[in-house]
Amino acid sequence: MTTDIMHLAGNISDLLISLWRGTIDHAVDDDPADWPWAVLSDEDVWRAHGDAVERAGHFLPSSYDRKPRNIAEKINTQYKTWEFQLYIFGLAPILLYNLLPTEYWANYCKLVRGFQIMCQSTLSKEELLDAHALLCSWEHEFELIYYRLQESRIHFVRPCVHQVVHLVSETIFKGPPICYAQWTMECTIGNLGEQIRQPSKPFANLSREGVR
Amino acid sequence: MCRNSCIVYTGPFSNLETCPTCGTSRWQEERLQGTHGRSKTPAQTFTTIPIGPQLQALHQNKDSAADMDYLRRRTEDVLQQIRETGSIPVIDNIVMGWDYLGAVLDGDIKPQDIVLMVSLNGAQLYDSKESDCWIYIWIIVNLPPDKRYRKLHVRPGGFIPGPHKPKNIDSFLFPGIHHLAALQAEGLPIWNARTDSRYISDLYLIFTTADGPGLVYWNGMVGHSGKNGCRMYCGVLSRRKTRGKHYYPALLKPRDRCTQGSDHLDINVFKLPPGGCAEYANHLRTIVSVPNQTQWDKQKTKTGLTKPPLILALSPS
Repeated sequence: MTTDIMHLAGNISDLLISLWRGTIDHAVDDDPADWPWAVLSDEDVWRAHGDAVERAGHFLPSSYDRKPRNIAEKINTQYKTWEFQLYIFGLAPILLYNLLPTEYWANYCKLVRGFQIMCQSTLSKEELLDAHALLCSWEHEFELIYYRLQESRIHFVRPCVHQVVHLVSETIFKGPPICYAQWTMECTIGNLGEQIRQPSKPFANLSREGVR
Repeated sequence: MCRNSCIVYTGPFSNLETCPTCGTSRWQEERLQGTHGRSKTPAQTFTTIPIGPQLQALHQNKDSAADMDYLRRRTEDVLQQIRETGSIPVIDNIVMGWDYLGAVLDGDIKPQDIVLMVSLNGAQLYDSKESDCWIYIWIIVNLPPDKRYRKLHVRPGGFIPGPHKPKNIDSFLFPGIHHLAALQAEGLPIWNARTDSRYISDLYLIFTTADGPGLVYWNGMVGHSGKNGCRMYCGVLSRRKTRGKHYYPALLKPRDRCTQGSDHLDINVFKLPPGGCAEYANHLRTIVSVPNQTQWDKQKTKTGLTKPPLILALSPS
């Protein structure tokens, strides 16, 4: 079975954002106000952060194709996976500098660098070793500083946290993750969706387009 | 297929007249009644697009036949490099993966064979629940990476119409996988326009992919919140809360309190076993030989498997 870095990027983004905003489920006596990492839980800070994301878009090279939208405004209206990926693995490390406590920021940076390496289409042996060290130590620290070995917080350790640790060994077995990511599938769905001309009978139409 | 997308009348269901899950008729009832049972029109149909002829067609054009040769050329380069330097310094393709190279060295993939990936996903085609459907596509690994993922070369394998979620997805995949299994058994005759030669090509399915929840359809594993929930089947057991049902892959044991079965010792992240646990075959044997539901429930939690996957029928398994 293969890991899919597209959904992985989406799931990790979702986990980290809900931790930083303090929106993740928690026990009654475990108040997000006491969480040192919940730096985006304040509504004003979160709005300002969203504006910063939008403004940062102007400085992206044109090779990035499109700008990510304001995350604070659009998060509930189909913020796309590529936008999350650009945010979590591109912009947020800079925007959260001095905002996240150093310990958490440093931990997060390990994930970002490790994941960026794993998204490359060409990977050298040295890069793989580097990424493995970064991602494994991220996972270990993540458990120590967020979950803190408290049973009521065990759900912070979502499956995606564990998946990250397998990325490097999977690459050695299967080749670069990008080669078998689900982007192709989503793109095909988009293509076929566009081609449907008769919404009343979508499936008949789709099957015909597919056959063509 | 069943009008509520429960099953498709294939394989063991092919002789049924009503759906074993929801009890609705297989046929359009008005028509059936109107013609006194003579006209049997299916209530709903789905599409499978056979991959074989598409692969044959790819070889019948000089340019695309040259593209299809990419994998062979690349494999030779890599093997040559290994012979010369004893290592793979850079990984930039599936060709460098051990899974692929292993299959080549074992002789499972021969120079003229075709290597495929399959990907399954649910899709909403436009903004309405009615357009929900499931699609699977074939990706042809023989093509160079810059063409492989292009619209033109991504081959749709089948569409399963919604809006209900398919309940027995194996029965939907059955015609497509059966077709592949048949081609594997008999080989696919190819006429190659570039070399003007005829030969028999074998098909090799290398990866099956899907979104996280969709993977269970391919591999017959429990969902990702199961105790043995790792998608790579690394064998590391997850932990749950005392009154919780979901398991989470926390490697470190909670220190405040911990329920039985989740109280195994801390696991070192740097010593994690790779995916594809060696116990898979044994576990699968256990799950297919359970005598009753209670035992099945118990073994399901322990092994993280629910059923033998359909793709096991393919060679080499």
